[in-house]
Amino acid sequence: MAAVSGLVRRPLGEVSGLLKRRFHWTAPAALQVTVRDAINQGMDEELERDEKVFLLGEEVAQYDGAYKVSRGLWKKYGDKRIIDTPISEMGFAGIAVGAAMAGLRPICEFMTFNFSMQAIDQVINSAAKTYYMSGGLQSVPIVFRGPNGASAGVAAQHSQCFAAWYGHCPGLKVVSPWNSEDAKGLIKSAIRDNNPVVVLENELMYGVPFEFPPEAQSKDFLIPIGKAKIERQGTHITVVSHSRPVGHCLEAAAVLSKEGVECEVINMRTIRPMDMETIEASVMKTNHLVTVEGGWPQFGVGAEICARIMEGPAFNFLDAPAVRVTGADVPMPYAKILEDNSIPQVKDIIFAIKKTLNI
Amino acid sequence: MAVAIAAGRVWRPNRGLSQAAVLLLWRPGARGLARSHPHRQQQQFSSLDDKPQFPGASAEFIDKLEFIQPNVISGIPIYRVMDRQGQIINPSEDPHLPKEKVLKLYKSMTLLNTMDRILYESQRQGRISFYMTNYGEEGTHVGSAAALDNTDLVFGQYREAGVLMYRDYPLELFMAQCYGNISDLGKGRQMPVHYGCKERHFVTISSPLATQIPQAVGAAYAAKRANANRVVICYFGEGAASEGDAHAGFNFAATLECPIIFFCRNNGYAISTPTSEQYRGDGIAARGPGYGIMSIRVDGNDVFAVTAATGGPKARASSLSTTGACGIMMPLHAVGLWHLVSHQQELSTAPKPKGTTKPILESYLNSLFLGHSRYQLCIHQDAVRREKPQSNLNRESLI
Repeated sequence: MAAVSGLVRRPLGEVSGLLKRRFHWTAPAALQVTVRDAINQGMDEELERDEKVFLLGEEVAQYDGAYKVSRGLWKKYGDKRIIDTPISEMGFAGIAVGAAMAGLRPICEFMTFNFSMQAIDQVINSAAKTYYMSGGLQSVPIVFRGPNGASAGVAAQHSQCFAAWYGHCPGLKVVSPWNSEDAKGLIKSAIRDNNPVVVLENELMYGVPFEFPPEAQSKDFLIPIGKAKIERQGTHITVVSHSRPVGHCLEAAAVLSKEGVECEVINMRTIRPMDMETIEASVMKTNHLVTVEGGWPQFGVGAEICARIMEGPAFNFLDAPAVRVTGADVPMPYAKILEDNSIPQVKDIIFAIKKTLNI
Repeated sequence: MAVAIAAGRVWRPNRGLSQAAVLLLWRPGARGLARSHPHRQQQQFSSLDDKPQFPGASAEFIDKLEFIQPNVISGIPIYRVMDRQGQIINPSEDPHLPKEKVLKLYKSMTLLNTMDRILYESQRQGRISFYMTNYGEEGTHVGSAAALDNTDLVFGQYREAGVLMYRDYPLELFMAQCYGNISDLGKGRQMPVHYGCKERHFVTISSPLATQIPQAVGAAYAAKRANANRVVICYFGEGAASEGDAHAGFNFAATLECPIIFFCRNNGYAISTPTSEQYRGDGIAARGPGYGIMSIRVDGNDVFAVTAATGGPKARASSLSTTGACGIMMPLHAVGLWHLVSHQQELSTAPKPKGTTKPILESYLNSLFLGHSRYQLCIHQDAVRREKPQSNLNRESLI
């Protein structure tokens, strides 16, 4: 070790004689982690760190989770921390809220967020509003998580995106991770947050592996809620998205880069509170804006971004009206060809970008 | 209960006036304000009687502090007609169904079973995204369908394809719905097994669990208001009965006195959650009387028992009268649950190679305990067999 540090301290010229026999450092192979495993790790670490944290939902224990996200947790932590509930979303969401009010830190899993509608009164009226209604006396440190948005071949009642619905409510924090790093950092921040947090995962992303940077492997790796990330720097246009469509935006950006158009792709990470500073700074730089989301257009995430841009300083920097790329305004059909055409595809994003840039 | 109804009639039109009226009615000892009710004749109490006079309760006083333990009362017995070898146990309970009906029941079950195998394979091969088999529960579908009129409205959960099969829904349309192709009457909008048919009075399946229960009650109420001579049957699993909608549905069915039959298919599991984690107490059947619903527990593997319970003079006739709802709970034999654990929902997007029919699955299908097979044995003993050997029927269904 002393020899190595000696090598490092000397300027390179002096070292040339020793170069033939220097150590060769290979960078460690990039660690690939799927989104599913990242969420699993995040929950595992938080369950270990704080014994007040527990997970409840349908099929989370012995079955390892309906989508295997909680794999191995029941084996490790047992019945008291990982709880299988009867089929009653209203019931177990209410139980979770009560537990949070009494001092525990529940993670309430909905099999998909579509079924959270059965429990939405508990989420909104009991979890979201209580801190305000109690004048700051009663906090509800709860996490609601589960897959959100379109999957594959599961039709209307399993494919709705709830980002806009939950993003609408004061009192809730809403996050929407895209890759593994987002997933782990955001779930950990959500669990440690004393407010009710809705974590909108994506079923199709669960199995996708991403490179896990070294800092993400730490047990204290947190991503701050309310901060977006610029996934790709660009100069011609700002493309804002959340969850799975971020991947599509990056693909579109790669295609357009060959044509000389450099897109700045922003991964929102948090829906509420929205990081308008990052978006505004980017729009002021590029002068063009396209928003991309999987949800329906009316009263959606894109609509909110456009409204806020108009209300803020970035409006004066726009050279063209902002364009929203969204899911089709229909309940999700089942037949593959109909379904494919009901969600934003890479070609739709490219089309919108070109339209905005007038090329 | 009658008191509550009377209060209701006073309450709605004019809230201010009725405030006082309601208080009056709820005072113990109030008399003469309740209408007589078919089930509970309100007694005329003198205020000197030391009898309980609480609205909404009809019981005697007791001076010993005693709690009712939930598991001390023995379980509601399970009605069956055939034993496990397919022999009719009590000849007086033999439904004496006409030959054509017996054959139709058998054909429907066999056809359903065959269709299930094909569509299950399709899902494993990635040709359709999702499928739910009906293995082990064919008896409940066709048995109950056989007891109903063709115009009786059916609200299902997702495992009632046999009811449609019995009502002669064409195979092509079953397949078209699952594949979402151009022949699909649903125009490719719905996931597989989300069948629906207006002509056959089968309401389209909806994914969220138990939402069909209050809807079925509403439909039954509409039928009652229209004086239509029809009954509504509402199917659900024992897991779905945990949903809040189920409670609301049962309660409304009883208080509104709707002509509805609640049919609970209890196969012991909800995906991987066993009934011990789903509920306590004596199952779903025991909840019926708590709501004021006439209830019975029936062996779901016994087609004759299912038919008798659903359609017998008791169930159908009484549900058409003002006494309203009827509940039937079907525990299915434990064997059924093995493959229900593995094949509850075929959702996995990972396609498997063609032809993977698990050999263990096959042996269970041929097992003695499945309703299908037991029914086979019953027909064996019948003269019917001589006219149409069952192997022919099996072969026909595969064509």
